[in-house]
Amino acid sequence: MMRTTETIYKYLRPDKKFPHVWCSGCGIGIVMGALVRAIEKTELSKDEVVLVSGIGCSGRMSTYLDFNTLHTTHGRALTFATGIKLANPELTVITVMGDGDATAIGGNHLIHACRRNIDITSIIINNNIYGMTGGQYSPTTPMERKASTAQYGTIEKPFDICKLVEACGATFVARSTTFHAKMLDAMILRAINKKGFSVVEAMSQCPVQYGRRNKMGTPVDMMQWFKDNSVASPAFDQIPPDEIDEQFPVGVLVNREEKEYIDRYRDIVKKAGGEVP
Amino acid sequence: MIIRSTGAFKMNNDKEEPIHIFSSWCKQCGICTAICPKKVLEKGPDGYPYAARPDDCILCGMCEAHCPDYAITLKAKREVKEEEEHE
Repeated sequence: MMRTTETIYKYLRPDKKFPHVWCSGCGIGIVMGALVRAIEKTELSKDEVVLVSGIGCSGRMSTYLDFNTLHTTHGRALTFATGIKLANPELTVITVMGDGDATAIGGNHLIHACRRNIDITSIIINNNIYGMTGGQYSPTTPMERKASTAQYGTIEKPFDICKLVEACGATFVARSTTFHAKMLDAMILRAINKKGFSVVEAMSQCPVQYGRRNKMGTPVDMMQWFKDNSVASPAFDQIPPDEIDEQFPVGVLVNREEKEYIDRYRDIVKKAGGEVP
Repeated sequence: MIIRSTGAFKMNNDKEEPIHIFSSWCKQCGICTAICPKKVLEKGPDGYPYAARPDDCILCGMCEAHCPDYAITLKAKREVKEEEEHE
């Protein structure tokens, strides 16, 4: 039997202060646990993994985990990761971004990384709000939900991250929630093993900034909401469109084969008469 | 209280409880007590969860997987079970 908590302790940096900074009931801790368990299953050593994070609550993850880590500027995790992957394609590069980090500030980098199809695993933790900076609404805040900059509810249509990255060309797209923690492990593991740009959207709860403003109750109530509204992706396709209210599909949404960027880059080097390492 | 050691974290499990709750890391969010399918865990008077019915535990690991603070472990319980199977 897998020893969950002990496995996580193996990957935490011993010189950091614990308990971690995330609020009581925050889902990022659950996502970090799932990421550690997925990496443990790949049997990669700590030196073979690079974890790149941006700014925001999720950015702290690179501080706590004992891999090669990089805490980069806001929204630029994917650009740094692309550089790392091109410089040393042997490394397994994983980026961790929040919803604002990935789709607002780094939105351009996200769509172009998808388009290139470079072998990076991107975990986007979606808590529907900018948690660390004080609860401003993000591109994924659902319509009519309240935020500190939308006191009467936001009037903007939200992004569906999975549909966005699918349209941009990501070869593996999956979604899971903090309630489905063990499924999240499996999704992250599949994403790491997939050669090509893979995105896992981890729906997470922000009980302090999002839940409290929208009267969603305790962290447990918010996880219950994930349980009630998530539908497995094949079953979701059977629901008539006019019956879809707040439900969202979970599971593997896209899994397709396309030539990866590093391979194409090597081909062009050969074509130009250069030497391929 | 932060427990540190050289290289790896040590669990403060001197009491040999079957289900150990590492209360110095626990933030009392209540997820473990709600997610346990056998209702083994309950919120104690101090706000921290405790194993009210440890004999009902089926070792599913849901509490470990869902604890955002890595403050719960079934280690001791597992070892007891492994010993029993060995005998």
